[in-house]
Amino acid sequence: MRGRDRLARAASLAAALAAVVGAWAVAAALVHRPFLPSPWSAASRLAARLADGSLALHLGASARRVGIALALAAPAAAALGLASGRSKKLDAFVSPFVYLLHPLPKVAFLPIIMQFLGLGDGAKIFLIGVIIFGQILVSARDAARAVPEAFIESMRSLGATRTAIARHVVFPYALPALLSALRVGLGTAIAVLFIAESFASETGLGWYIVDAWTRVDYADMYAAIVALSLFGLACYLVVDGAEAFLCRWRDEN
Amino acid sequence: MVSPEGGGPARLILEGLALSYPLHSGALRAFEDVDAEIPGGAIVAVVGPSGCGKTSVIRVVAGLREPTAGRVVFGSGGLGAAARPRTAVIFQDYGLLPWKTVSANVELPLLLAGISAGARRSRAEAVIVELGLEGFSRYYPKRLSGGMRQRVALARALVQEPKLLLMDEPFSSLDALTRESMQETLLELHSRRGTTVLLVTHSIEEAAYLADRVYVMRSKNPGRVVARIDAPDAGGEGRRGPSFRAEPMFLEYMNGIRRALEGAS
Repeated sequence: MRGRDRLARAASLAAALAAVVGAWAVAAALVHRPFLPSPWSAASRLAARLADGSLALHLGASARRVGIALALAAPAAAALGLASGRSKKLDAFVSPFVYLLHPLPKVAFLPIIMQFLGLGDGAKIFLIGVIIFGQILVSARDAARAVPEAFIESMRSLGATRTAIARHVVFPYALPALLSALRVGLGTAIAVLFIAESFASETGLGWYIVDAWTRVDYADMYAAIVALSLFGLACYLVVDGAEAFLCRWRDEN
Repeated sequence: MVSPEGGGPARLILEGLALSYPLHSGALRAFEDVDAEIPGGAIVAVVGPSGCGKTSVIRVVAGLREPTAGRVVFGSGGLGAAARPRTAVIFQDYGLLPWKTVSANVELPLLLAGISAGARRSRAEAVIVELGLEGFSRYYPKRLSGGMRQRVALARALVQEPKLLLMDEPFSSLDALTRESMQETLLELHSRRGTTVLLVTHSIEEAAYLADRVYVMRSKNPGRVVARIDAPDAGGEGRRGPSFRAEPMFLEYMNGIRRALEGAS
């Protein structure tokens, strides 16, 4: 992406942010109840909590859970998905499971997962990981299936092995789809994170939000919601940046 | 791939070659009874209408498909993959990888052959210069015109120092002027390197201009070779260069090919 495009995108992002904050401010003024504080009081509370370091602990716990889940699930899902997209035999084995398991609401299994993995980070990481895994697996498989035969044949004419074809053709071809799946997966993961952390936790932004709610400290609650949203936005921006860099061959003119 | 016959350009003979693609019910016969002799260092063209199986002939000669019948004999009687001379293929759609820069595309065959980074770079740089692509090394294919992409494909083929160059409709998607300039480039490279070239085209004019020998294929379900026409002997260098297009001899050569394509058979 060129500098001017990046600037235009930052500007439209800022405009959207202003619109959301504006709508929030108007709603808060109209409703005028404690459970909808103004954005300014949420922002000043967020600043205070960030300054005294108490949110950092929870933000760190949430980020760690998403990060570990991502690191474990994404590479494995990409590898299995790409392989089954290129191998009919493997796909015949993998696809029925995908078909069966992908539409299930995994978050409903959280109580059972906690029975198996305990109340600690394990269950939360597992749940987030499973969700990211499914999303990337399906996209990777579909992208690998769509690789034009011309690329494969051209590589074969150069004497390329299957591994070389995977590395030089299948992976780069599928990369934009993998990053899109990652973006969608992260969105879902953060939503699930909130639910997972609100169960039997003592750390994480999800827990913090529920805790502030029970303390009837709405400013605190909104501060944590904003923090969770900013965390999600930061994840998106990182993926976008990675895509702009790794897939620059697509949009160069 | 190492050439067992050492230095010279490859000579090959196609003997009763046939290919069919398996289908749900029976098989789709692409071509049958293809006999041809491609002398070492010659440019030989296969001409025919779409669907006559000429691209499939290239696939079999390239070793991308096993023939259903017949065989390809290389050089001094060798058979199969072990005897295959170093072969480069240029596909109709160029086969460049869009996520690799020009230099990475040209270096790719060397990378796959396990050649060290330094040697890759210097060999790629040399053909990039030879094809007039200097200054475009860091471009992605998307930024290049059709003619430039075709040059990159040629560079990627030549960097392998092939003994046999197979080309499938190499210039068919280029505009007329670019096509003629690429044809000159090909002839020039050929006269310098002497690589054997087997080229598939649907253009009578292109076949007549480039080839020392033309095999005419017709779609008879499956496709077959219906004629072999050798280039007229113009003596010396007379047959090369744009002025050849205006010679009566050239028109006669073209007419011979046309008659065979339309011929009563």
